[in-house]
This record gives sequence, C-alpha cells and structure tokens, in this order.
Amino acid sequence: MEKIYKFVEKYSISIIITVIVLTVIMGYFALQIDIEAGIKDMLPQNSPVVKRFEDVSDTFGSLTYTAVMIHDDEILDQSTLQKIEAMTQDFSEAKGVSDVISLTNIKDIQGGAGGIKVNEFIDKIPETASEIESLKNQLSSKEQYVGKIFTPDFKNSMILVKFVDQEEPEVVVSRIRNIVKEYEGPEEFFLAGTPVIVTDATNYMKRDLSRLLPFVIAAIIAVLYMSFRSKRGVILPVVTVIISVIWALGIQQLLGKSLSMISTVLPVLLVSVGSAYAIHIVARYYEGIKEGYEKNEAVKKAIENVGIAVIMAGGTTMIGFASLFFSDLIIIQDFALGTTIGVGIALLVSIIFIPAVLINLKVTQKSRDVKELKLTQNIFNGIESLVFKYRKPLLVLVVLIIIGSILVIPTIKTESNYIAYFQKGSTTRVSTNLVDERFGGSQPVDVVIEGNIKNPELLKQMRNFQEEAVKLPYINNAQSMVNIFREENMALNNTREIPTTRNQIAQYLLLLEMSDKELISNYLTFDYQNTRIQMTMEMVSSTKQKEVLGELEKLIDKYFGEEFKAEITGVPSLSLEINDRIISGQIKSLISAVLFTLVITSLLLKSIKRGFFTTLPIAFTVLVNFGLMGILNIKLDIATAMIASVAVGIGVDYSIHIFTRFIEENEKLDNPAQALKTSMQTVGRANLYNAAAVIVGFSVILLSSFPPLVSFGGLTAFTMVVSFFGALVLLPVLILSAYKMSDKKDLLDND
Amino acid sequence: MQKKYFVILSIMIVGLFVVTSPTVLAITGEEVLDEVDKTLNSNTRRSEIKMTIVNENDQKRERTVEIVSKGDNKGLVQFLAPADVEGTSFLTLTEDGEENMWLFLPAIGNVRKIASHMRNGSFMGTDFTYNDISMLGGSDYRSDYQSNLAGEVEYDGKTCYLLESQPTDQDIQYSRMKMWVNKANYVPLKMEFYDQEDKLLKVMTNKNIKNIDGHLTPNEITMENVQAGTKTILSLSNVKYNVEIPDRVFTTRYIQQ
Repeated sequence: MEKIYKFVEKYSISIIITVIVLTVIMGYFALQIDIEAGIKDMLPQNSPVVKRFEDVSDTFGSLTYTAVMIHDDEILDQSTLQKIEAMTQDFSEAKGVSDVISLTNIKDIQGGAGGIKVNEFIDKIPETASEIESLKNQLSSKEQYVGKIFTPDFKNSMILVKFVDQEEPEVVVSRIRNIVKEYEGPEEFFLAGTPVIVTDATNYMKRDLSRLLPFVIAAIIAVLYMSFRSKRGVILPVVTVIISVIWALGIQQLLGKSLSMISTVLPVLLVSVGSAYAIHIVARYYEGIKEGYEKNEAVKKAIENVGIAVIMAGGTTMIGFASLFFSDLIIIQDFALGTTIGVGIALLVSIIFIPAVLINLKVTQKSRDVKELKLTQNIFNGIESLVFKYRKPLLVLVVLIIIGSILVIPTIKTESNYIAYFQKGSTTRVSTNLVDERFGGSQPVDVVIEGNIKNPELLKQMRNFQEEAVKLPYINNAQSMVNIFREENMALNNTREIPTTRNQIAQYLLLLEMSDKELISNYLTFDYQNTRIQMTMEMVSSTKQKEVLGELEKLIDKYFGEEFKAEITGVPSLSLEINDRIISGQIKSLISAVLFTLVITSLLLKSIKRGFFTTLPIAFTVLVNFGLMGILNIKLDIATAMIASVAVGIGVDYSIHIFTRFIEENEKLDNPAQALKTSMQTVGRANLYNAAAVIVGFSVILLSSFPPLVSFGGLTAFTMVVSFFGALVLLPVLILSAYKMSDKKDLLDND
Repeated sequence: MQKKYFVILSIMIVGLFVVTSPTVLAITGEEVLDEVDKTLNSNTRRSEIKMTIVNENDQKRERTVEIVSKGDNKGLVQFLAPADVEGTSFLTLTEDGEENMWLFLPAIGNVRKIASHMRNGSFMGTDFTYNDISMLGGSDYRSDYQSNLAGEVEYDGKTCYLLESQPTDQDIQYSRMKMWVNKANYVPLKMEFYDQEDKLLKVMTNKNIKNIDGHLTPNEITMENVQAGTKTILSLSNVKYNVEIPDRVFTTRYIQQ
C-alpha cells in the first residue's frame, strides 16, 4: 500500500492526464459498440442443439423467420392483394431476407391434361366479386394453406419472411418494420416470431435503461451528497463510474464483443457498484481530514487503511461477476466479461486516480467540519442495540429464514421464453397472441428424418406422426412431403391418398421434379435421404414447451423408432436448451462464486475461519434471494439468473469492510465487543453510503415498464439490503456468538 | 494531320465491317445451320444416355434413359434406371409442324399429354427443358430460331462459326442464343442461352466427339445453369444410326406396354 501511495504522490499529474486521455480514446470506441439480439447467439456455437438447428437451416432453408399478419375485412380484394404482392416483392429485396412466402406466391399443384401443373396460386389478381368468390372456393380446398397462409374467413393473411442465417436478426426486423409501415392502413399488420420478440425485448431494455440511467445517476448523486455533504464526495465517485463505464464499453468493442440484451444493464450496474470503491477511499480521506491530518497524509492514511479492503472488495466483486463465465450461455459469459472489466477499472481508478486528484485539491475548511445527518446516527444506534441486545432472537430468526428459503427454492421455475417478458396488452404480446390464435403459432418446430422418402413405410409413418402431432396442444400446421403427395394425388386422381409403393413414390417425385424443382427442396434433400416435417408452435412458457416437446419425442419414438433416425429442432428446442443451461450455469457459477470468495478472503485475511465468517452473510443473502423468488413466483431467467452472482460480488464487500476494520480495531483494543462497535460506527458508515447508493440506483430500475428489468432491479436492490444488514447485523452477531461460545480470545487470530 | 487521322479511322471501320459483317462471309447463318442439320440428323438413331444431375451443393442423381428417334418428327425416351422409374416413357411426335408430347408413368398409369406450357419446364428434373431436349433430338432448329452469322472465332483451339439466334417461336423462354459451330466439320461445340433479362442463363457444351457410322456424335453433353449453379451431364453410349425402328414404337399404345 505504501508503494501505491508513493507512486500516486510522485506521478499524480501524469496519472490524471493519462486517465483523461485514455477515457477520451475509449469513449470513441464505446460509442461504436453494437447491440445484438439473436437467440442462437446466446448459446455456444459448439452446442449440439445449435449445430442441428444450423444444419437443418443449411439443408432446408432458414428456420429463423418473422410472421407478418395482415388483417382486413376481405384479404382477397384487389387493393389488399396488390398490397400483399408489393410487400412480398419488397421483403424479398430487403437485405438479410432469404425467402418470402405469401398468398401471392404460394405454389399450387393442379391437375389437368398434362399430368400436373405447378404454378403460383394467384397468377392474376381477381377483379370482380365473382372472381373473388371462385378464388375463395379454390383456396378453401387447399388444406396445406388454410390456417397457415390465410384464415378460413379470409380476413387474415400471413407473410412469412425468412432470414439469412448469418444476418443480425434485429437489423432485418427493423428493415421489415420499415416496409410494413409504408403499407399500413386500412389493413392492420401484426408482427410475430422469435426475432421480433427478441428485438423488441432488447429495444425495450435499451430504451428504459437509457431513460432511467440519468435518474440512477441523479439518485446516486443525491445519496452521495447526503452522505458526504461535499462536492468532491459526490464528483469523485461519479467520475469513477463514468470512467469505468466508458472503458468497459470501449474495451468490449476493441475485443470485438457486442452488447446483448442483458449487458445493457451494465452502465446501471457499474454506476451502482463502481462508486463503492471511490466512496470508501473518499470517506477514509475525510476521516483523516477531520482528525486533523494534512491532505497528503490523509490520502496516505486512506490508501493504507482501506486500500487493502477496497482491493479485496473489488477483487471479490470481480470474482462474483467472473463466476458467470461458468455459465453455459454466451450471453451471460459476455456479460461476465464486461462487468469484470468494468469493476476492475473502477477499482483501479479509485485506488490511483482519486488519490491523485485528492492530492492536487486544496483542503477547504468546510471539509473539516462536515455535519452528519440525524438519520444516519439513528440507524447506527439502532443497529448497535439490535446486535447487542437481541443476539439470540436474531440467530433464531436467521435460521428460520434459511429453512423457509430452502423450502421454497424447489418451487422456482425457469423461463427462457421471451414473450413472458412482455406485459399483457403490449403490442408484442397482442401480435403474438393473435398470430397464435389465427395461424397456430410463429415458432418453427421441425422434425428431421433420416430415411429414403421412396420407402413407403417411412411415408406412412410420417403421415401417422403428423396426424398425432397436430393433436398435441400448441402444435399446428404439420407439413411435409406427405402433404405434397396428397395434393399431387388430388390433382392426378382426385383422391388425397399418399402413394403406397416405392415405384409410385419415385414416379410421383419425377413428375414433381419435372414441374417445379423448388417445391420439394423445402422438404426433401437432393439425394432423397433426408426429409423434414415442418410444424409451428404457439408462444408458451418454457414449462409448457418442455411438456409438448417431450410428447413430440414420444411420438417420434412411436412412429420412427429404431428404423428411422428422427430428431426435433427449431426455436423452442433452442430456448429449452437455454433454459437447461440457465440452471446448470446458475449452480456452477454460484458454487464457484462462493468458493472463490471464500478462498480470496481467507488468503487476504490469512485465515480460513476469517474467510468463512466473511462469506457467511453473503451465502445467507443468496439463499434469501432465492427464497423471495420462490415466494413471489419470480422465474429464473437469463436476467434473474445473474442476481445471485451479482449479490455475491457486491454484497460480500460490506462484510469484508466490517471484518477488516474489526480485526484492525481488535488488535488495538483487545476487546471484541468494543472493536465491533467501532467498526460498525466507522466503516459501517461507508458501507451505508455505498449500500444506499447501490440500492437507490437499482430501485430506480423498478420504474421501468419492462417486467424483466423490474424484477432484476428489484431483486438486486433487495439483495443489497439483505447483504448490508448481513454485514452489519448478522456478521457481528456471528462474531459475538463465536466468542461467547468458544470463550477464547484468539478465536479469529491468524491460523 | 486531320486527314491522316480520318484515313486511319476509315480503314478501321472498314476492317471491322469486313470481319463482322455476314454479307462479306462466304456463308450465311442459315446455311451453317443447314450443314449442322446434315451432320447431326440421321434417319434413325438409338442411344443410351446416362443423365447425371448435379445440384448447387454438388450432390448427384443418376438416371439412365434410352432415346430412339426416327426422322426429325418422331422421338421416344424410355427410362432404364433407377429401377423405380423404369418404364417411364416420353414420346414426341411432330405432325404438320405441330409438336405433341406424351408422358407415361407406369406406377401412376394412363398416358398423359403434356401441355404446351410445360415445354419450358425441366425435362425429368434435369437442366434441360423439353424444348432443349427436342432440339437435341433433331427437331428443326431453323423453324424456331432466326439465326445470323456473327463471325468466325476461336473456341477450344478450333475455328468456329459464331451464330447468334433469336427465337421466332413465342413459347421459347430464351431471349437469344449463341452457337459455336466447328468450321471444319459443322459440329456445334457450345451454346449459350440468355434469359428474358438478357443475362446468361445456361451453357451447353458438346465434348468427346466421335465418328459413329459416319455421323459425328458428341458423346458428352453438358448443360450448366450458371444462375442456379446446377448442371446436367449426358453421357452417350451404344449409339447406333440407321437401325430399323418400326413406326408403331412411336405410339401411345406402345409406350404403355
């Protein structure tokens, strides 16, 4: 610590200039950072589920699409059809779009003198009422399009816009939105599909956070001013967080990373967390000034006395965030990287930049007689009497809370379906529900089967499977070669039977290939060896998704069994994979966060016992966090899955500060009770300022209209309250109890 | 100075004219086609053709057909392999300048007349259209296209007549065609087909030309769709000319047997 001080004293001006210059450079890069919203990008590229999804997309065409639903009193009238035709054209020409399917370009297999004829269903837009009527009759008989491209009442029509796989979905979605805007009215348009939902979620997050960030900063400034009653007490912590936010974004951009939906909370998180280190340094500096030290001496004291605790606190916070690297989701790993970097920068700035600034500032008389608020006094007196008078009831209460939490934890459900993020009545939810209701869903579920389509047994089982599959809840629109053959037979022989011999199938195929090569390439590979069944699924919760996909698996076993290899893929499979990884990642990162925190605190405090005591309150906090989630029925999703690790990282700081001060004081006083009181009164204050800043910061997010942000902000604020009291009440209670029980004075001395 | 420049320019223009103008060449486009016709056509022809269809991902499908033709108005294609399409037949008859096509699929039954709109469709899933195939089968190319001789060019080390043709038949999907005909023997070596937007659509090349029974016969014909990235290779074997083929072979009744 001595060395740090000397370094800062010697180079204070250079440090200030370097930090400012670097911040400007980083700011330039930070402004260029992208936000990404692909659901596939959340999973690692080597995941078998992602691989299958991509393989199927490569073979049969993209599985990522947006459903554009048009609602009008009559979709077949001239103006609406012309609109659909023009939109189909515009969508096809949009960059990132691979294919468009609409009422004006769907293919029809027709019978006739020349065998069959495949052409566009609507080659001429009907003009008269009788033409419309006859088109309606034709369309109504086409089972593969009814309920998929249009509703039987001809009031709704669907345009499916498929995406090029490599393209960023949110960019394509915004292009599609722009096109839709041009054509709006009198027809109504509704957009659905995973790309739309994920994009909307990201945009909501972005919008709410950028709106709320100024309020978060203002709230923290207010808390800081109430705490320090001085300008530099406010400005220095705020500057610290601004620098760390800019650097964190800039470095991520330089590393080629982009922000995801969840890392948009990064600025808020860093504003709340990053200010802590500055607060402790500045608070100790003021303590020194009050005691009458010279400014350089006060800075030196601050670095020497809280430097180690700040480094430890920052280190454990970094570990808490870094533990999220153990998540199996890329999106959370990226978040871990960004926050770990940000916290590291905030730590560095607090230890080096702030002292460098303080050395170059004059000590005003004002800073020597800063008055404290009555409220703060009362809080600390209250806490003190609580700890010393009600030690045993408190212990009982804590044990009860622990038991209660453990009991409700198994009831926590996971959720990876984004639609759950939207309030009822929001445009996104309304559109999705309408599309589900009228067209049976906007999420593709595909079954890919290895087996030669010319095998009549396979074709028969595909038909049986499809018939059963659409009876499952939320599964609709099963389409495959079965339907094409049925249409073909309808055209040839006026019956919807599927061909039953190998030769028949081969010749049906030959006839189709002669008529339209593309028609079958959607369902069948060139070598006839792989075929797929396309279905759609409605937007439902992960729990229901899991049930339905499980039922589908059973049907696959029943109909394809050993003979043919069949697998499910599609967006629900991806989102279930995310769901599973949320849990496995949660367990891994929690265990590692707690363990590493234990290791670090044990090492720095040179005792496993000390490390254990410091870690205990935060373990309690994590338990209570899950307990609350269980009671309030808050689901574990990609946002809430991070809270436990965030809580460990941030919350353990309070315990560290209390504990290091306690050891310092106990060595001086050789009286644990008195040492505890002093620690609570001194460093406890810095803890309070810090906790208040973090809690107020996160509470501002509660104002968001976006539910996942509300639960994230609320739960984080809550865990901060718990960990603050964990450090100021539970930890002293534990320390006192330990001394009382063992009757040994050297209990917490070095091992 | 001015004058000298003018003289050079005149010589260049005249030179260009001499090289490109068909009127200066000894032979016209139509006459070249006459010679091509003589070279390719025969009274009767029988051959086995292996069709290799290659998609844009380089995956292949193989089919073998037997093609018999008589004069320039009768043609029959019958599938030999794979077994599941064996017996599938495709008959072309031209009567009074009108071309009729029939298809028979044994597992589906009934001979079906192919409507004229399908002639630009894919022939059996290959990159050839029905029209392309019937052209190969010796149907009268001159009646469907108006051809001009654009000049003489080098192709594949051979001096060739370059023909440029516009379809006269409304039903043909191409906007124009180019044909490279070997000057030495009147065998077409390459053809380019352009779509309605005048972009190159397909390229056909004739290779491995052998003299069979006095007829110069390309034994490998490749049609490449440059826009789709697909191609079809036809490999000829057992080619026989002037064999006895009774007329009853070219009837719808015969192909159903």
